[in-house]
Amino acid sequence: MMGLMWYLLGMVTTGAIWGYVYLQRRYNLNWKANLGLFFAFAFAWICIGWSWGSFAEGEPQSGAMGLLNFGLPALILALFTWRKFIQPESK
Amino acid sequence: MKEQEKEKDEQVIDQHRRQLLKLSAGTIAGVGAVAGAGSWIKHRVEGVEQDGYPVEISPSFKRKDQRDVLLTFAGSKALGEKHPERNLSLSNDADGPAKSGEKSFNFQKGIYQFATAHTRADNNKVGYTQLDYALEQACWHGMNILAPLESMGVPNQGTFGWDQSEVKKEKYPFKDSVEILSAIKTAAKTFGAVRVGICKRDKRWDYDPLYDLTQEKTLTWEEDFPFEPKSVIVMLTDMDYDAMATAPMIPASATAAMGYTQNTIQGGGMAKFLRELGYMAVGSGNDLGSSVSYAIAAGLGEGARNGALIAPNLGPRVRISKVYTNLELDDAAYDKPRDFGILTFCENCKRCAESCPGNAISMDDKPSMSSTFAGSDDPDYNWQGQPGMRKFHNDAKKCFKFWCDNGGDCGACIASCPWNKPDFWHHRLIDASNTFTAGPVHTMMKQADILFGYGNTNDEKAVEKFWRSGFSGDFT
Ligand code: SF4
Ligand code: SF4
Repeated sequence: MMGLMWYLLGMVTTGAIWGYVYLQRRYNLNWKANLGLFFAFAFAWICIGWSWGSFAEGEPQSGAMGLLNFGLPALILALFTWRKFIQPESK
Repeated sequence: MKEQEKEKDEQVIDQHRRQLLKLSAGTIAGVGAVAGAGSWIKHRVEGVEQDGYPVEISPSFKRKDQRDVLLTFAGSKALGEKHPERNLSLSNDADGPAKSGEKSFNFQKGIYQFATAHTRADNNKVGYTQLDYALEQACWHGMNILAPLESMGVPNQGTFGWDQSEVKKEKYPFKDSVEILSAIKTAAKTFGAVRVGICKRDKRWDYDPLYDLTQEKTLTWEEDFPFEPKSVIVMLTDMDYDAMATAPMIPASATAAMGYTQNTIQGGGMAKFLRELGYMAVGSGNDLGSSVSYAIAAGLGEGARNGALIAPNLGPRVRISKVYTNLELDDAAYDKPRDFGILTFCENCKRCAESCPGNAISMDDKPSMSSTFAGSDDPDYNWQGQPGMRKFHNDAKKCFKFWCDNGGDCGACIASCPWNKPDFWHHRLIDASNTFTAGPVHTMMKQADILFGYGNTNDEKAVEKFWRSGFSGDFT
């Protein structure tokens, strides 16, 4: 169960690096965009790891709190960064 | 024109070079900062070695007379008759000292009630059914055969026997202390211990005199113990997380009982191993001395507010066995006490005290040199206290009274502790951060633990979950 999680997180990380390279080619990413993307990724990563781990150990409340406390900020940060710092900077 | 283009090209190349240089410098600084922070965190998580015993001990500190150890007193008819005032001091109806007109708690009757609780199993009461008690009795069974009554502090029992007649005449030719250390630690792993440490024998932690309640007899280290111990090997065994989560209900008592059984195997096994190697050795559980003090000295963890040892990654969900031996190591080879930041966390936490159904745990903000609970000034009430050591002094009598009322040995202070977590990466991350953060962050972490649903006690769902835990997940 946890092995699968690490495998998926590895895939997510690789996918995120590809996505970042693509964004960098297509848009002018300033330091604010880079910072926003980094934290959005970090929150999303912790969200998956935390919630998966919690559900696996049979603590659904902790899993739900993980989704709320790490997943939601990841989503908001990603959207905010996209709207404010990435979209207006297309090459 | 060509000149101008060449100049422009050179400018672009220069700009790229500068960018690359900046990027490389940034990367090197970043990697350096992460590596530095990583090694500092690792150093904190592994515990900072201390020069001496990490707890303040006053010069007036006295060794504990085993007749003042609660379980020894409770199990002894003779001591009950010798100290009738002790059986009049604790209120049976309210918390703390008995006031006039209040019925008092009798320790000897209490232990009988505790020991026979399984005969009153109630299949309509979640966590106290025949099923729960059957498991508890089965878990005690091993200890009852291998070292009966060791949990009550009775010395010289079964695998913890004092007989040294089988010690091999020839000592195994170890090359040096490192080879001895490695052999002992490997043997501990083979016996199923989850941690092992070795410290020098320290008389301050040993009971003096010892007391055998089965014979109602005091024993001395000088005349009765078979040799003069030089070192003490301390081993930890862990208890089941799901079972402990049911505290104070009976599956939690069952895993504690299993811890005692494992102690008799591990402590007894290690003593036998040393005797086969030509050294005198005696295994021990709750007898002979304070296991928590020795575990701190051997660098295995810190003494916490709840009176238990908290070991990194395991929390207080451990049982301790120890082995006294005349084997000696070079000074440098002994394990050193370590500071893991646990007691500092305790100062801001108090979760165990809030969860304690017996109201036995100190709510003080800081550790003190003597008891501060109600009645602590009265020697007839505070007969089991041991002043002279800076720690959180708890009222063990109230804890014991709850055990007797409960019909099982509780463990709510273990289950509720934020350090008590199963082995999942996110808990290790939080443990690591708790070792180097302080004050308000610790209070916040305790609150977060509650919000995330950890450390509940008296949780009927936990009993249901426990009884399914062998039938799900990686186990099956
Ligand atoms: S075992 Fe139970 S009663 Fe005793 S100190 Fe811990 S929580 Fe309190
Ligand atoms: S619950 Fe909190 S105060 Fe109690 S032992 Fe654990 S960390 Fe310390």
